[in-house]
Amino acid sequence: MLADLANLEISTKELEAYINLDFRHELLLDIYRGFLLKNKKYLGSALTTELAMLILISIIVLPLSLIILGNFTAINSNDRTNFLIIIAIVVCLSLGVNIYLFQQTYYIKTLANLLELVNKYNRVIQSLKIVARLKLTQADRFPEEETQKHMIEALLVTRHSLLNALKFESILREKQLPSHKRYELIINLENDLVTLMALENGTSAREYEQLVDEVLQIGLNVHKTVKNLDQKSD
Amino acid sequence: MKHFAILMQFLRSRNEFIQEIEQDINIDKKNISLLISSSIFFAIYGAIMGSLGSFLQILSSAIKLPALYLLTMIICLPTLFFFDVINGSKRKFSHYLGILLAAMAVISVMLFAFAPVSLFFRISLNDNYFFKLINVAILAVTGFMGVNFFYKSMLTLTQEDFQEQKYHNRMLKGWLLLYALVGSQLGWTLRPFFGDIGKFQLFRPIEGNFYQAIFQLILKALQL
Repeated sequence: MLADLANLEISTKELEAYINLDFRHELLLDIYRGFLLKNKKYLGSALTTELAMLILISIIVLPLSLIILGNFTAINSNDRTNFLIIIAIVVCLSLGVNIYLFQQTYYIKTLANLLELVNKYNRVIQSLKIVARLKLTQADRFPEEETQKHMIEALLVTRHSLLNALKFESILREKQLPSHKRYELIINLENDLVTLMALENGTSAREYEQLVDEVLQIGLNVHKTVKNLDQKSD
Repeated sequence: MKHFAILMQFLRSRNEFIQEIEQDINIDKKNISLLISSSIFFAIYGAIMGSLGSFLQILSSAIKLPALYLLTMIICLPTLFFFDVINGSKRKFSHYLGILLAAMAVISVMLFAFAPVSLFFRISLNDNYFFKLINVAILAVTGFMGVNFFYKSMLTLTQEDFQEQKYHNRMLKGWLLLYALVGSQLGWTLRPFFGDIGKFQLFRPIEGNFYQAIFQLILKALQL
């Protein structure tokens, strides 16, 4: 079972291949996940980029100010006041950039939510790995083969749904989706959900029940997110 | 985005990184991450350099040091790119930018590594001439390391583009000289980076040149 679980995880490389993000989208994702979803991991990254942005804006403003101050020394020869004016300009510019970026986060809301679901899915896999390792040490209480099969199948279906949803979002974002392809993707997702619900009813082992529930919740959320996205893009 | 992870990946496997730049693999993300992480490291070292003066001097030097390196790059990069293109280079501008940003990253990381040493001399010495001199020495050493990395990487990147490699090598050395001259003069224009104890000065009137000032600093440090 452990070998199966290792293959089911959605790796960062696989994600990158599916969602194909440029710098702007990655920055928006960091801002949305860090500041709005309050995810500490991304907050650090967003703050680092913010700090660098402040430095880079200052670098653009500084030579301009050097030229202006060089030409108009009569206006204000006090260094302290001049520098404070430069800082104020930098802060205003960076505030403007930030307002623009926060407005733009609207377009990556769905992607951010899907990525949070991928994280949840990977966490379920991690929990299952721990349970499977514990079971290995207690050979007599190893779960039935049928339960294991159900669990792996449920995870496979959820994985398929998640990757399909990410693909759907990515294609919509790049506005390159022909209508028949879009229909096909939605049908795939609906099928996955039906399979997932049938699998939930078939799982009897108590220790796996909660994890299957979580997987089903992920599947439902993926379905809901894609439905919303589809309606929005109509 | 993991800017520092990309920087560490570059530092650990530089040849692989250069190959990825050559093959256009995530080149924009790499360039932006190198730009962001090196700006932050330069700013930290700049803040230490400005710590002789007031708080505003610290802030001003934290902006000026990254500005010095990045503006020198902006001023000199088009010369190198178009010179090479005219002489037969098939590389894109982003390749040149990537290699130069990687060289900046080497300099910034080395400066960051020297930051505790510089801070130690700042705290333990009362001689601001010596503090200035030791910082100039650190900037020279790290600058040499960055330039050396850039020179070797450029030779690797463009080795198939030029029939007369010897001519290209000479041209590259000439460009590095130009880069050094522009950098030192820009540094002189943006001064003070150190400032005077407890005081704040944004810019100084443009007079003399960088080399004359270094000579005078050595004389003062040796109390001659």
